[in-house]
Amino acid sequence: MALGLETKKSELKPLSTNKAVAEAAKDSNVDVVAAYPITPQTTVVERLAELIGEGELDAEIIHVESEHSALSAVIGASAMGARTFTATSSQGLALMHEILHIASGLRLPIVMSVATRALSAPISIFNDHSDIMNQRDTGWIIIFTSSAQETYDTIIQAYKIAENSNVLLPVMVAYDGYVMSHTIEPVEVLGKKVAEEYIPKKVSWNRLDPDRPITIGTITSPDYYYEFKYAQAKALESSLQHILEADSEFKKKYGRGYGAVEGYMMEDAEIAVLGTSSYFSNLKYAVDELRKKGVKAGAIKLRVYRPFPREQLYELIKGLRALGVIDRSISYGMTPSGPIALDLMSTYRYKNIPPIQSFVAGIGQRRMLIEDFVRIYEILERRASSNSINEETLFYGVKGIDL
Amino acid sequence: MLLPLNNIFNGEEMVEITWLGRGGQGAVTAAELLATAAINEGKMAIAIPEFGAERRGAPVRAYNRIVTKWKELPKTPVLTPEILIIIDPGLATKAKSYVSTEKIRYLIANTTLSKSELLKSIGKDISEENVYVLDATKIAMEIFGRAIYNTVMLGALVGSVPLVSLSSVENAIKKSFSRKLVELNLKAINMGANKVKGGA
Repeated sequence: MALGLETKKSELKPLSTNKAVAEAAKDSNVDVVAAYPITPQTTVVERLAELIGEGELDAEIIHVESEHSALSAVIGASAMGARTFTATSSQGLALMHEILHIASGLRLPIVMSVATRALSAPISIFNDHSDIMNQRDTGWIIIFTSSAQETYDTIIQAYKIAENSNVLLPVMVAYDGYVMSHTIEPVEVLGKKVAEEYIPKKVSWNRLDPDRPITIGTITSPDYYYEFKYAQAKALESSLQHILEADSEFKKKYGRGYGAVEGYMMEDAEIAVLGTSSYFSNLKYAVDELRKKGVKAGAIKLRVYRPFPREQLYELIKGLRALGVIDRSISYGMTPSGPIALDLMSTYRYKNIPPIQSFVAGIGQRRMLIEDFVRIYEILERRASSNSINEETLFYGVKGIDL
Repeated sequence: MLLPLNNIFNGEEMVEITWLGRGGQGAVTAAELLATAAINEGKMAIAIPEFGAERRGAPVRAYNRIVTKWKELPKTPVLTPEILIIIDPGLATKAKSYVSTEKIRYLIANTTLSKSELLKSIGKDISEENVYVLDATKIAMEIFGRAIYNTVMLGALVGSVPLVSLSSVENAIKKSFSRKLVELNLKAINMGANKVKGGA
């Protein structure tokens, strides 16, 4: 019998995640893009410049001298009521650090894509999550995506979330540098109709207007500063429901939704491992392998990272015998050393949860094949069976260290 | 002769491909063109570049995964490919150092070695029917006047293993290259494909 390859009818574009992000910014009909165009910039802004040049997108592109300035420029544009976009990675994100706080403090609905990569020194141009994890307390909404399609969809959702008058916070959409940013996958693009149907433009935030002058971000005394920060904390906390609403509406309109967390084979899972971005796809393949051997394994994706989806994640982990958490960055001098593992251990301190084994892996894109993910489940199973899970992080894949 | 698809997939849902070349020879571009052609046909495929120090002349790998059913694919490197395409002639005898030959079922190489000599040097015992050798360097020199053989080898792949149609690859080339290079690369694809089909 002849074997056919299953095909899809809808229009698909072969896109790297970087190109998918550029398509999404175009389809969101952004007004202003600012970017530092040199390393460690991604091809996102290169593609956006082409789209503007080809007349596909009517936007202003500002080439600035650093990422610090790139974010400053979109802050200015956003404060004037423009729909803004910028993209960065690695050291570029680190250089933005100061301005990240200003964007969230001013409550501006900026959307930024981050191709997550390692930080110097020593120099690495490869993937891990050191850059994004350093930014977790900057007051931005942070969403991790696992495929080019999800990244495209999430950039569009990010405008819906950020510009919601109940939210008014900037959003980072983070995806694995190199591993996703340069891999070509099929993406169903929605075209510019999405800007009219799903995210029609409306300036929902306080904007600078010469006819109705206001001042923003001005100096505040100890009498007022605290309330601004409290309001910001509450806004980020309560943004989760709006993130989920935006996702449901997107799903209703376009058939794809992702939730705050996602489980794979979790219905009867006894042990599970949590990962972010492309690691979730790998974990699913590892689960398939383990299931063949009769191991009741499951995989969990943490998609929305800030605000932390405490309740949604709890529903997935509460019945497990043991949970592994893979971090791709190191919280130096802390035990556990994985920031996400640390988040879970502290947020569920007063709940009944399974033992959590923290793993660090993939630092500087240390190679992780499906068999490595299988091994992580095996280590987890072994440690769960021998009651030897504790707060110490296991550094998987370091040369000379056997686990 | 063109292989039937069921042979290529061998009862599995996924076929994994590794391109082995040197920096600057376009292994990544070849993998991208293959995935682009497959996706434009509505098929589920991905192209993954190898992330090494991007130096001209250093060995470089690029990977493809193509599946029969629509599903999310892992983006890990393909270290045990079923199809290996060696685009650099100097690597034909050294492939073992860069990729596991354990699962190889189809081998396509830019080399002047015979099929048996190639298999011997790689240390792999597969049916010679599944081995395709061509002097892509010579073809590339004729077409480009330079040793750019990635699209010749892509042609050789499509000419032997029909994962995508030749016209889809041609369309991918038309979209990916500037006008002057389109003609040359179309020629390269067709000459590569004809060569493995036993033509001129």
